[in-house]
Amino acid sequence: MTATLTSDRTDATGADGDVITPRVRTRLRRALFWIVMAAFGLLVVAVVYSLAGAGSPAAPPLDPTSANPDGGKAVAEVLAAEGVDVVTAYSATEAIGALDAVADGGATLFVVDNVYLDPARLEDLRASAARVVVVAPSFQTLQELSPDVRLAGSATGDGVDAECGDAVMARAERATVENTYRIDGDASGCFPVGDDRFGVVSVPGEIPVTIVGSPAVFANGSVTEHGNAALALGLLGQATDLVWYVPGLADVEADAPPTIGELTPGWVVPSLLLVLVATIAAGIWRGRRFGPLVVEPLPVTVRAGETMEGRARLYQRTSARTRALDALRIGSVERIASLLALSRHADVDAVAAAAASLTGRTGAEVRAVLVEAVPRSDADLVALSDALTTLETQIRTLTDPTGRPAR
Amino acid sequence: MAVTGWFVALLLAGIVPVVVVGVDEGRAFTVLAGWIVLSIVLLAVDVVLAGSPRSLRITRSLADRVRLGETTTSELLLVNTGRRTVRGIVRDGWQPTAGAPSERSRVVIPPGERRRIEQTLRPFRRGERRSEHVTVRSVGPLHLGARQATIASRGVLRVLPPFNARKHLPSRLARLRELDGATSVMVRGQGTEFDSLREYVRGDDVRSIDWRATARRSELVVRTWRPERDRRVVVVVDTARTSAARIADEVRLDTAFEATLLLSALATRADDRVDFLAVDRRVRGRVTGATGADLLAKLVDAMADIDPDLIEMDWDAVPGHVRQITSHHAFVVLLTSIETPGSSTGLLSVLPQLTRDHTVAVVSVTDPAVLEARADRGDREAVYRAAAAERAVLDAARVAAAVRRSGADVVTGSPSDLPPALADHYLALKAAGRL
Repeated sequence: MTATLTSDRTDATGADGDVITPRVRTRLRRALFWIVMAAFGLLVVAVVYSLAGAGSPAAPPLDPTSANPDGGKAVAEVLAAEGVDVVTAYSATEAIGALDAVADGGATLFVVDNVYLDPARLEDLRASAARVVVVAPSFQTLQELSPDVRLAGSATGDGVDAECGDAVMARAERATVENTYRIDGDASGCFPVGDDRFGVVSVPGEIPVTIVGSPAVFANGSVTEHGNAALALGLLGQATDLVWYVPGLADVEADAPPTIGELTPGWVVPSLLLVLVATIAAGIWRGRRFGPLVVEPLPVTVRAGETMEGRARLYQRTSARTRALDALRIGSVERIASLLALSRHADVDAVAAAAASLTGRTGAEVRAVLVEAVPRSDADLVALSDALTTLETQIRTLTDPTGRPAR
Repeated sequence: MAVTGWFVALLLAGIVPVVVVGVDEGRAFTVLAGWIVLSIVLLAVDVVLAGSPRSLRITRSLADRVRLGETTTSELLLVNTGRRTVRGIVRDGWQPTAGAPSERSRVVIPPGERRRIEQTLRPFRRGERRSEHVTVRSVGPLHLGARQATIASRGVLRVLPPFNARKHLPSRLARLRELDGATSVMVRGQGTEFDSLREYVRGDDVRSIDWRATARRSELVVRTWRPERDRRVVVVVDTARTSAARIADEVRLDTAFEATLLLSALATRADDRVDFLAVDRRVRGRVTGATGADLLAKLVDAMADIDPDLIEMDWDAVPGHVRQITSHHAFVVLLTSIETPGSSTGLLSVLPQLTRDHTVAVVSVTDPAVLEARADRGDREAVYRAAAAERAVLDAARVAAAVRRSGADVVTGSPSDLPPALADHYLALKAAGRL
């Protein structure tokens, strides 16, 4: 019945002269509970976050600073505690710099293969290191490092026994194997899976390369399984210096053309920020409501013709032609009867007879229009309706005392 | 608190220094931060320096009532009791249909002084329009920020029904005078009262010559008559569900009010007593025992805030209400709607009780759109619509016939014709002495 609008703070309709708008400190006091709740909620989130250890969710796999399950922080920390100097590099340039910085060139290079690794730089990297450990190398990397070793598909990811003479491998006894390799040349494989497929491959040479098929061996989440820890520490802790190279964006961009960010002048970003702040201020300017909303109960109004329209559509949808025509006929008969000055109780036959005699039509014709014709289609209905109108107009003209034709 | 467009402009102006030093990104960021801090400090200073809108004392001066369609002036007097000048804009919280202008008033009020704000109200809906509060936004001297407060201050304006049917009153009053024996046209009937004897003048009806008095004197003497007086007219307006229908852009209830006002103005001039009742399931408005100009004033006042209610009319209570007003014979006017036999059973069941003691007229608005639809036979849809319209007219005719059989009269008309039609019916009854 009444449209009621909710409003902000209109409940406080005080006596005349009272200021309804609360003061700032009143508003703060009212909001105190929610402020405290929000602060508490933030605190809880912060505590949970720090406890969950999700410190660097965006870190790449086997990042030595990442505490994620796929990070490499555990191995890096243990190595550091054991006296190995771990240097992290996120680009080939950095890695080469770090390797060259080691006095006698006796550093171990640990390469985590990912999409950013540029195989073309591998030779330079290898030349600077004393030995190289590479995790899950791709086809191109393998081609570059040791063409004798070929990819041989993946294994189940379960623990596999070492079964080889290499001291480090033997100490580990058992480790997780994911990717496997076949050997053609003088390389030796350990952790065999089936026939001639190995989980770890050692390529001897001036600068030996060890290919480990499974990142799980080094990852925080799985390093404690089987002999993974022994294998990882044994491989990486062979020298006192370790360069842990995780290829990153810098490798890709090294020789790319300057980005839009580098080309834009320094004032563009601050100006955009200023425009953003100004937009927020403009929102506050235009959005501040000038006093509370005003409530007005409005009366209900109904359009009167709706029942008639509804009934018309019902007639039409159900094709109730006879019923519709009946209504039209009753109306016409009553009007004709009153035009012909017949009694209100005169029946249809009498009206039809009187109309026929006045108009000179045959009785059957008038009766057909007024009573008998049955509409078989909508076209019939419209035609009969027109016939009714014509008959009525004719009688109106004939009975009009002024003799004028009816409109 | 509020900020102004100038504050936004001030912030945007910071682009100039940012671009000037912008070769180096670090320095540009420093300038940016400095500019924002400076703007906010200026804003804070401006808001602190703005005159407090809380220190304003507000009084209103307002006419209590106005006819719908007319304008009235609402005055606000603002006294600044604070120590700083309040300059800013004022919004009076009128309900939308009070027709207050949409632009806000600007004021400058030095401390201790008073300013007046005038607003022209043009209400466009009947009833009681209110303003519960006044909101003042006081802008600081730098025009950057503003303080805003809403102060309770109640204003009530009663919007009365327009009485547009007033234009029919002079012609009906002339007809009323014709009924009076003072004019040469004389109506005789059982309802007229003998007034006096006077000399025959040419043009008088020869049938009114009093031969006995003529015999006593040497000249022709005619009897003069005047219509009966001091009759009771009881107007009952149905405010229930069906009165909410909008016909030809006028709610049925408003048409009923117009007809009531015209009838009342006419009847009170004819020295009849008019009582008014607006009922659905309860009595929504009642005016009894008022005469003359007082009657119309009380009527419009009672009608002002009656709106249709979406409930069913309680016809059973109506004879009781009428009996409370008068136990004698009266002319009872029922302003309702007669549409279908189904929806009029309540009315038809109580009509005999009313017609036993009173002269009853059932007054209903007809929808001109229905009559138009009945004549339009253009295409298939129009024919079906014409059939539905014909059916509606036949239904209403059946109800009207039933009402007549119960002994009441039926007056119908389109919204614009109904008030004069009711007045004419009243005059006809008066002439016939059936009141």
